[in-house]
Amino acid sequence: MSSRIECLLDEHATRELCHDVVHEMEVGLYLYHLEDPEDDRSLRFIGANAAAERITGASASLFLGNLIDENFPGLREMGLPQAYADVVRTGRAWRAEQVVYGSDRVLTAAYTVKAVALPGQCLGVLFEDATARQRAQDDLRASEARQRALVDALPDTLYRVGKDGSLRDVKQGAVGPAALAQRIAAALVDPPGVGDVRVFEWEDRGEVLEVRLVHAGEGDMLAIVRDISERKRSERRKDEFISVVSHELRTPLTSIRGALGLMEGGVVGAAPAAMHELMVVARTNADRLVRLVNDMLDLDKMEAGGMELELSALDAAELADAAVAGVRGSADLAGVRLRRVARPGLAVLGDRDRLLQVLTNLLSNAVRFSPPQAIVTVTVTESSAGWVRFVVEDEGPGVPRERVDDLFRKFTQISSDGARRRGGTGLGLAISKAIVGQHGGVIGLVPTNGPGATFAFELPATAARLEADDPAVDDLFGDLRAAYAASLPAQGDALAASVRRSRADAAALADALAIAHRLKGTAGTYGQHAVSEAAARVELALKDARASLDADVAALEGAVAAVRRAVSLASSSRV
Amino acid sequence: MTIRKVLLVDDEEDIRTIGHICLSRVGGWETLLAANGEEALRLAEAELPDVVLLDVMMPGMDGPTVLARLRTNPATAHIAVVFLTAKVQRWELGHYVALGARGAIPKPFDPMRLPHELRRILGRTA
Repeated sequence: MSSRIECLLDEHATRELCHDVVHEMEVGLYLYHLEDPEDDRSLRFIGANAAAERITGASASLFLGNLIDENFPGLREMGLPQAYADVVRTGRAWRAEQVVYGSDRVLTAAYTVKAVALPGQCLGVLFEDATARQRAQDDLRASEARQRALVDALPDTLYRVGKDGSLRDVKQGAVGPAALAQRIAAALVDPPGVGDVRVFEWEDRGEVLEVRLVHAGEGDMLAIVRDISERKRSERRKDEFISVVSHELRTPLTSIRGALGLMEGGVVGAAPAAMHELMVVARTNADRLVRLVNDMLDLDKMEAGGMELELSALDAAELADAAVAGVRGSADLAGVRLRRVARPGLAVLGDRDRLLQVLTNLLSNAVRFSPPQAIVTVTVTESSAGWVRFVVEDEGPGVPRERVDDLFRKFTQISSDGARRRGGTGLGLAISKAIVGQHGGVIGLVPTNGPGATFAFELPATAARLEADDPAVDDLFGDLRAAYAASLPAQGDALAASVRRSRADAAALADALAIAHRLKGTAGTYGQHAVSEAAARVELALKDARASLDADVAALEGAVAAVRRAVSLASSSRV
Repeated sequence: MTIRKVLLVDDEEDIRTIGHICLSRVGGWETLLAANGEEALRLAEAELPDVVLLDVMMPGMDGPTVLARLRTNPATAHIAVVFLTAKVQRWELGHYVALGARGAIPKPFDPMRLPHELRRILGRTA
């Protein structure tokens, strides 16, 4: 008993399912009942699905309950009712392609028709708009042809990539080169995801290929290979051209610069004031040309990968000091104050001259864009990731938003009006980026809310001990160092005076820290006497400042400790 | 050391002109000029200058070769040599010093400072 109920339920479910399928399918369906098996005129319309209405454009309610000839006049001339009745009588399906039909109710089209017998003298007529299908097929074929033409016209070679990296040329069907297949197989270890493109260059017998690996849907991978040898060659020619031109410019520039310098210096007789003024203009611009040529050669060398770094452990604070000292002259001329704040004890592994070039560049940019009386600050800190961060802040007009993106490209000027007039070459930031990049660091413009521009770069910190300078280099610059050492006590005095006078404002403190730090770094070279004398004065000044002011106690202690260390270092090293 | 006589060697006539005015008027030294290596060697032996300011890149005999030839001649072996060259890289400076030069002055130079630079380099312990 229960099995019978299940069977009925089952049958019910099947019917429901059939109903759904019939309703949802894309093929049109008309249902007829042959009332008199002997008379094909007795085919009565008993139902239709949604697709039928969509395809014919006619609502089934118009036809429901009517005889076939009432619904579709003209069908009889084409022999369809007769064929339908035969299907019911014989149980054999009937099929016709391209039945062109139309009436005042039904859209004219070429229909594909299939009639099948159903239980109870019923008939199902399945039909599709062959025109639409044909059109869709034509469209698809046309689009394939277009894509094919496109692919054929592409200068690139297209490979379908097998799971093992094997290559099959999409255009010619040939197998791709084995060596390239091997390289691609290696890249497939970490295949690009959907929408990703993996690009790499591959050299083969003097040819340079650019390979783009793309995910082409469902486990399919395409390799688009472009021969970029010519581009590479022309890039090389361009670089060589720049290099040659720059070198060739240097010789006449030496003469021009030299001649102007001698005239300006009054060596060949005093010039009238106006003439002197013109000479200064000419000489200043010759200097600028020299800078431009130097920058171009620098960048050229870096881009050719020819920049060799001389790495050593560098005291980050000392680096900042040296950079500040380098731009002191131009800052004084512009009436801009320089401030340096540094956490002592931070070291980076790098090329001193190159990093100095970066810092000097950022600082001189900052000075160039600063109004008189403004402050330019260089800060050395440790970033959260344990990197050493150099930050250069100014109080200038800042960088316009639309310029931010191409700031580090060649010949980009921060402001269209100012920079050239202000003597920039437009290469400084591009060079800085190349240098920092070569050091494994990053450089960028820090977004700020206030006015002014803030540039920062970060370098991996090194735990390496700061080593003494190479003795050979020491000798080479010995006199310079001696002169510097001799000036230390005076510097200490000046500093002490300035600290007392200004009641140790932040800038002076930073300077004090800088000097103390420099002393620490150089104690070994200058000998005990000069260092301890200078250090003592600085220490005294700092103590004064500390007693009288609400200064940063921690920073002061750091400075005092640094000075003490410098003194002890000096006493333990050669004099 | 005291400088009295300087020999400037450069294949560019204009640079010799500038150098001559600069060394003689700003430096106050007797200044000799040579346009190539051979001339430089001949003048150095005949005039025995205190210092030779030597261009590195010259057609024919280049600067380092001239330096080597000066050193092998007992008459000129003691003469101080300072290179005058395009942008000085640190490793290049080391290289020149290893060759026996006292230093290098980068081109383009500031003629008002050149004599000072020269004195500075030669003032260092030899």
